[in-house]
Amino acid sequence: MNATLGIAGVSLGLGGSLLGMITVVSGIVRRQANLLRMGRVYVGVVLAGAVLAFVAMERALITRDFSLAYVAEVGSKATPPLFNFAALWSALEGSILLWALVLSGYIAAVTWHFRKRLEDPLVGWALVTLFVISGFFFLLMFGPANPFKEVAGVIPTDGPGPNPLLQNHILMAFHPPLLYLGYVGFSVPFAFAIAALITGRVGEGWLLETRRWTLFAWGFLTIGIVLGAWWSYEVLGWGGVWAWDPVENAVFLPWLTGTAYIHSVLVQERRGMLRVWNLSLLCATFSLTILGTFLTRSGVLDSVHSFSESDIGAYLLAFFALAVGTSIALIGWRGDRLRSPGAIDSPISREGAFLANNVLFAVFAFVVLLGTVFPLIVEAVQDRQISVGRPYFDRMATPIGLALLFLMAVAPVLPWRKASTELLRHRLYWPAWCGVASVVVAVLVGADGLAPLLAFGLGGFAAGSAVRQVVLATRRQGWRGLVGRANGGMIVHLGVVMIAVALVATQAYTRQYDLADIKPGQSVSVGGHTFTYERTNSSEDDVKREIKAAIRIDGGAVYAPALQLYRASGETIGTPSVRTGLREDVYLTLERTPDPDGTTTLTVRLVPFVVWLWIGAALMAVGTVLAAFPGPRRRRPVEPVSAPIRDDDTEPVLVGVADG
Amino acid sequence: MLALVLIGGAVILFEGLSNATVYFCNANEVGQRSDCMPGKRFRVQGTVDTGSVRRDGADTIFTISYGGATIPIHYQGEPGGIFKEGLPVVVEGRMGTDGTFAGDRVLVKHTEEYKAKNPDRVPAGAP
Repeated sequence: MNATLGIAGVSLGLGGSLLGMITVVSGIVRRQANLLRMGRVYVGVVLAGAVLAFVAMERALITRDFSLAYVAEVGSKATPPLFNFAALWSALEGSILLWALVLSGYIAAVTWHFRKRLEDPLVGWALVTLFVISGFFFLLMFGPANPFKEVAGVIPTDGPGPNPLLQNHILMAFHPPLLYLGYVGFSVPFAFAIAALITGRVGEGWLLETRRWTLFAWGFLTIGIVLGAWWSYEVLGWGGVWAWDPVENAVFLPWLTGTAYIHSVLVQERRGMLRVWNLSLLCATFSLTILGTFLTRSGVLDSVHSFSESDIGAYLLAFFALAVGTSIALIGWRGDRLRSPGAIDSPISREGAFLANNVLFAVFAFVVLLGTVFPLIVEAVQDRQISVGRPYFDRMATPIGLALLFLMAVAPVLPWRKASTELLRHRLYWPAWCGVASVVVAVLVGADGLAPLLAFGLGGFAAGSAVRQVVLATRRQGWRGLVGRANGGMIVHLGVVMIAVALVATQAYTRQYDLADIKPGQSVSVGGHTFTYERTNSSEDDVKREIKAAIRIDGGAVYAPALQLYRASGETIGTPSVRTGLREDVYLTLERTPDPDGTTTLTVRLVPFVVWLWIGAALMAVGTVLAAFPGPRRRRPVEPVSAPIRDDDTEPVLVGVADG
Repeated sequence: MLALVLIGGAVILFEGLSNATVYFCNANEVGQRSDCMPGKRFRVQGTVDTGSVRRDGADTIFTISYGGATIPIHYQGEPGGIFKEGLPVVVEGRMGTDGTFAGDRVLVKHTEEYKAKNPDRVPAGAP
């Protein structure tokens, strides 16, 4: 029953995608508006198919239908309802199903948003591109990632449940869907970029149309990444937030190119420049989401996230090649129309700073990509297994990060076109003093080391600059000075500075103490804190046995790092207990199952400033929302409709440039 | 100018990669393959021998075997997590000249194959 429903849903999705693709393409080619309008019917079919498949799978999970291989793999009678619901996206096949659902939702939203312009070939080609992508993901569910495969042989009476690591925090239920909202969301601007290339309307029109879609996807990608880091810190228990694991890199790569894009697109809107570059960035971002899925889901790389292997890799790689190939071919074909009018007048200008920003983000993405796929290259060439460790990534990321902080300080105060030294001196006066003050404060509280101090100084500089812009804007326009792209962007910058400072501080100044063979009743003082090991508490439920060690910190509250033994898999998972503070977290982990008399080993980590990571991320989210609202001085778009570019390259692109 | 920047970048990348590259060795390749010689840092893979795990202060001492070869490991700290006897692990560290591997990081090979953890169920005749 569930399998039949599910397969019906997947078939609807695939059929709807294929027919939609054919209908819209023939509508565009034969200039038949009724065919173009029919596209929305197929959008409805695709969405219905995805919803049906999703509901079928949830129904199978909730009714514990172990005749489905997927439910037998990730379901169990004992899993609590929420985690049982979330079990849908805890392994490969279900993740592809979730992907298809999110993508169908995006397609429906795009169709609704452009419902009055479905006859426009630009929208038509964008829909075609989206149909191709959704068709591919439904196809995966027919081939290598079929979630509705039935168990061969005897139907089991119970299953192991989702991976224990995915069961011990409520946020694990939301982290993947949020991440997918971001990851999949980049399909929309990508589809419009392809459509712009095909129709030849490569001016600024399609950019403006997709601006908020990009921001939306970027915001969710950011939140998803930070939630992953939070989970890694609060649940995994190794005391860190980021490990340069291939799975983390797979999400970080499109984030880097996406971030580059939302900056460089401003230059195109204002000055009509960087057209090829912006299209390439969008194509790269989308392709990287597919490559990332390939890297993490095909089992070619060793990763702590250890997904199951399957032959899905070949499909994903082929689709990646298709995306990259199509993008390059189209950009090459449209090369003549993409030549930008005008050039950058002076490197010390807003557009010069954006260009530098983009070079840095591109280099960053390249460096991370190289480090991630290097083991694959070596294995292919030399037939040896290697891994590229954190030192590589840390060493490469540090100078790039510092340079980005510097740009964040300088770029917001730079005018378009050209800046004079007096102007810069005047505008950077306060921000620079903020930077100096942060270094002084950091030294006073005991910070040392060149790179951390540089980071704190530049962080203060960048924060000063962002605050200056926000203050000036609110003084001029009241509360409206907080909304709009430029102002919201400054709030995002403030969040980024907090995150940068917190990352540097946790990297450089975390202290770790191992309290070996500590006995109940014993008190130990390390790192300026006293830890009293009071007792262990043991509890059992249907799924696991849990042992908690009650630790009193500084005679105050009791914290309880725990170990859980999951019966189905026989795995022991540790859960840290964290006393969060604005200046420092006290992070406790239980390192081994206590002896019968309670003797155990406890690790204490004193992690400075880590809470600012989460505060900074929240600020980034708020800033993104503010940036999505129309700004106070909303300029008319350069081209109100996306008209074809005239051949004589005389676009009126310098509208609104304040020439001083 | 651009060429200089590119060459400089390539050199930095190459340096960074070669300094951070760690080779994987099976326990029976240690001392045999050039990447797995004493004095080098690498990752060694094998199964934790049953009955070999004991604790030495805060450190843990055990042996791992693969393909008929056994490597003694002196691990700094507690491996923690899902580490236990009979489980395949990867230990990262440096091979000492005394034949003991000084490990500072343990990765438990964490497959989703739950049945593999009951070795008695492996069919007869399997290697």
